[in-house]
Amino acid sequence: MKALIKIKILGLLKRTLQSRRTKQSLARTILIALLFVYVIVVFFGMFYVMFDTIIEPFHLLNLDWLYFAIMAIMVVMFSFIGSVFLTEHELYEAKDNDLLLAMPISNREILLSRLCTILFLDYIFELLIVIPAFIVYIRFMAINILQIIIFFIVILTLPLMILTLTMLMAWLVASIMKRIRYKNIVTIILWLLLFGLYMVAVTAIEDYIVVLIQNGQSIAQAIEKSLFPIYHLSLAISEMNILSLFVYLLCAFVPFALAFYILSINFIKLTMTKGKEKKRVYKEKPMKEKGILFSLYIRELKHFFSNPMVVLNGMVGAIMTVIACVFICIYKGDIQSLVAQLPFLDIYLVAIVCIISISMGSLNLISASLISLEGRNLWILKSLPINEKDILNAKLLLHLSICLPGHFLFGIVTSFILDFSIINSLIVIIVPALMTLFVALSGLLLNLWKPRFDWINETMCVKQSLPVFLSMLIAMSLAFVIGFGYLEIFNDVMSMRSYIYAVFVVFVILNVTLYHLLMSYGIKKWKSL
Amino acid sequence: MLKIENLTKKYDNYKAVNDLSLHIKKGEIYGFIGHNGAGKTTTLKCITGILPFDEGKVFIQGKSIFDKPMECKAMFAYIPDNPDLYEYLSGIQYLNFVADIYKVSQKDREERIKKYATTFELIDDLAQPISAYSHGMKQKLAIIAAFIHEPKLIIMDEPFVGLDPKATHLLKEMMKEFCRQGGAIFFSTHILEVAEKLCDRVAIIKQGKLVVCGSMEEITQDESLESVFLELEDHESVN
Repeated sequence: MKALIKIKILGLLKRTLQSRRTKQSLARTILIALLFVYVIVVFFGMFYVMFDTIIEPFHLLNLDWLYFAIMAIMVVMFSFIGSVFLTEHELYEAKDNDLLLAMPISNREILLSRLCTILFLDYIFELLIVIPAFIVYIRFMAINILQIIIFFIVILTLPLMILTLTMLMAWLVASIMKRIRYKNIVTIILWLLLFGLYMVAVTAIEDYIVVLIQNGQSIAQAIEKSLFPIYHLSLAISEMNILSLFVYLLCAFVPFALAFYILSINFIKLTMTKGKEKKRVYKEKPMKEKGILFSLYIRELKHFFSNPMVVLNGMVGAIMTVIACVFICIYKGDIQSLVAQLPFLDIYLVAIVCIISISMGSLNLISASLISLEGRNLWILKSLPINEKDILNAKLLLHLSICLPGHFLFGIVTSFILDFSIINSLIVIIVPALMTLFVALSGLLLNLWKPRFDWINETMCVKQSLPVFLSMLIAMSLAFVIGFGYLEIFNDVMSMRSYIYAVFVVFVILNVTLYHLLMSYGIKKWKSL
Repeated sequence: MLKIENLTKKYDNYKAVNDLSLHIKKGEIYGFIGHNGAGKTTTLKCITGILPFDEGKVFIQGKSIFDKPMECKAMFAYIPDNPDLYEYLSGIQYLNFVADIYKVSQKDREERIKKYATTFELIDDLAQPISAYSHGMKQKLAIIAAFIHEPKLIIMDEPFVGLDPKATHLLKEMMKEFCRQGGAIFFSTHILEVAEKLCDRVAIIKQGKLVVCGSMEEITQDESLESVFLELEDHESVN
C-alpha cells in the first residue's frame, strides 16, 4: 500500500517537474522553479487581497464565521475544478488497472492509492487559499491554540469532502463517456465550460468581494441553510464550537466512507467494463486517392483532434479569436461609439486591432508539440518513402489551417465594424497571419531541436514540454515588443502606419529565414531522430 | 536484393551492431536470429532508414539507402516488432494513408485491401478505430499495409508475435508465395522452429556481431537449428 502511494505521488511529481529520463539542465530546473514561484505568488497575492478586504466588514457585521465559510467554499470550488478530470483519469482510465488487479492487492488498496494522489493535489490547491487566509486572520484577529488546532483539523479533513464530490462527478463523467460516441467533442465542451467558469471566477473576484461585503448577512443566512457542513466548519474555527466541529467531521467522513465503500466494491465493474459503443462494421466504398502532402495533412488533423487535451492546450488563441469576434459583433454599437468619442484613437486603431489579434495568436502553440506527438509512431513516417519536406510542411499546414481562419475572421469583422479602408483591412488581416506563420515555424523548429518521445500520455507533450513553453514565451514577448515598441521607442521616429509596415517587413524576413532554416536544419534534425 | 556491408551502429561507445555484412538474394526468405538485445531490431531499423548508422553501407536493388532513401523505401515494406500504429485512425484510414504514400491506384488498393483483409479476417473491423484493435489485429493490419504496394523486399521484425495459429499459418504461406514470385524477405525471429521450416538461409547475431550465416543445410547439417544456436551461444560464451 505504502509502495503504491509512493509510486503514484512520485509519478505525479515526475510528470510535473521532470521531462526526461536524463538529468535535466540547471537552467530548466531554475525555469520551472521560477514558473512555480510565479504561480504561487499570483494566487497568494490574489487571495490575500480578497481576504484582506472581507475580514474587517465581516467582523463589524459580527459574521466572523463567514470569513472561514468563504475560505472553505473557495477551497472546494478551486480544488473541484482543478482535480475532477484527474480523478476521472486516475479512477476510471488508469492504464495500470489490469496490472494492479492481477497482483495480490485488494481493490480497496488500489483505490486508496489512487485517491491519495488526488488528495495530494487537493492539499496543494487548498494551501494556495488557506495560507493567505490564515495570514490575514492572524494579522487582524487574536487567535488561540485551540483555534489553531481546530483550523488544522479542518485543513486536514476538508479535502475529504472535495474528494467525495470529485469521486461522484468523475463517476458521472465516466458513465457519460462510456455511452457516447463523440467523447472528444464532449470533453472539449466540458473543459471549455470549466475553463470559462474558472476565468469568470478569477476575473470577477473583485466584484464578488463587493457583493460579499454588501450582502454579508443574506449570504450568511444562505450558507447556514443550504451549506450546513461549511457553516459548522466555520463555526468550529471562529467560535471554537466543538459540537460544530463534530458535525462538520461527520459531514466530511461519513459521505467519503460511503462513497469509498461503494466504489471499492464496484471497482472492477467500473474500471473494466467497456462502453456500450456499437461496433462499426466496415462497408466497402469506393476509395479515393490523395496526394502525399494532403494525406499527411489529413493524418495530422485527425491526430490533433483525437485528444481533447492537446486541442485545448494547443489552440486556446484560435478559440479566443472566435469568441472575440462574437463579442465584437454583440457590442458593435458600444465599440463604434467609443471610437467616435475618442478621435485620437483613430490613428492607433489599425495597430490596436493587429496587436490584439497577434496577442491571441501567441496562445496558439500547435506546432511546438507536433514532432513529440509522433512518439512511438515515428517509425511509420521514417520507414515510408516520404520526403521530409512534405512531413514538415504538413505539420505547418495544420497549424496554419487551424489558426488562420480565426485571424481572418477577426480582421474582417473589425474592418467591417470600424469601417477600415481596404489597405487597413489588408493590414489587420495579413500582419497577424504573418505572426501566425512565425509562431508555427518557430514552434516546429523548437520541437525539432528538443523533441520529447518519452511521454506516457500525449498531454505531457503540450503541457510539460520545453519547446511549447519557449514557443509561448517567444510569441508572447514578440506581441509585447510589437505593442510597446512603438509607444516607447518608435513613436517619435515614425507614424503608426509606417511602423505597421515595418513590422510587416520584419515578419516577412523572419518567416523566410525560419522557413529556410526548417528546410535545412529542420530536415537534418528530422533525419537524426 | 538487399546487401549490407560492414554495418556499424553505435550508441555512445557501445556498438549495438558491429561490422555486419549480409546479402539477401531475390526469392529468398532470410532469417535473422539472436538472443534478446543482440542487435536484431537495431539492424533492421538501420536498413529501413529509421535509424542513422555510423559505418557501412546498405543497398537495396543496388541503390544505397543513404544516398537514395526515397527510391529504396519505395521498394521495401517494414513490419516492426511492436505494431504501434496510428490509434486515432480507423483500420481502413490507415491502409488508405499507406496506399496514398506509395501512390497505389484506386483500383489496386481496393482489390488488395479486400483480398488481404478477407484473408486475415479483418475486413469487418476495418471501420473500427485502431485503438480498439487487439495486438494481433494491429499486427495483421501492419502486415496488410506492408503488402499493399507489392514491395520487392519485406523486412519483418518478429512478425509472428501476437498472431493466432491460423494467421501465423497464413502469413507463412504468404511469405513463401511472395518469394516464389521473386520477392525477398528478411525477418528476425525467436522462434527457431519457424526459422528452420521457413528460411532458405539464416544469420545468427550475438552482441551486434555476426556469428554465422549460410543456408539452412550448411548451418544445421544433421542437427536442429536450436542445438546449433545453443551450441554457438555456449561457444561464444566460453570464448
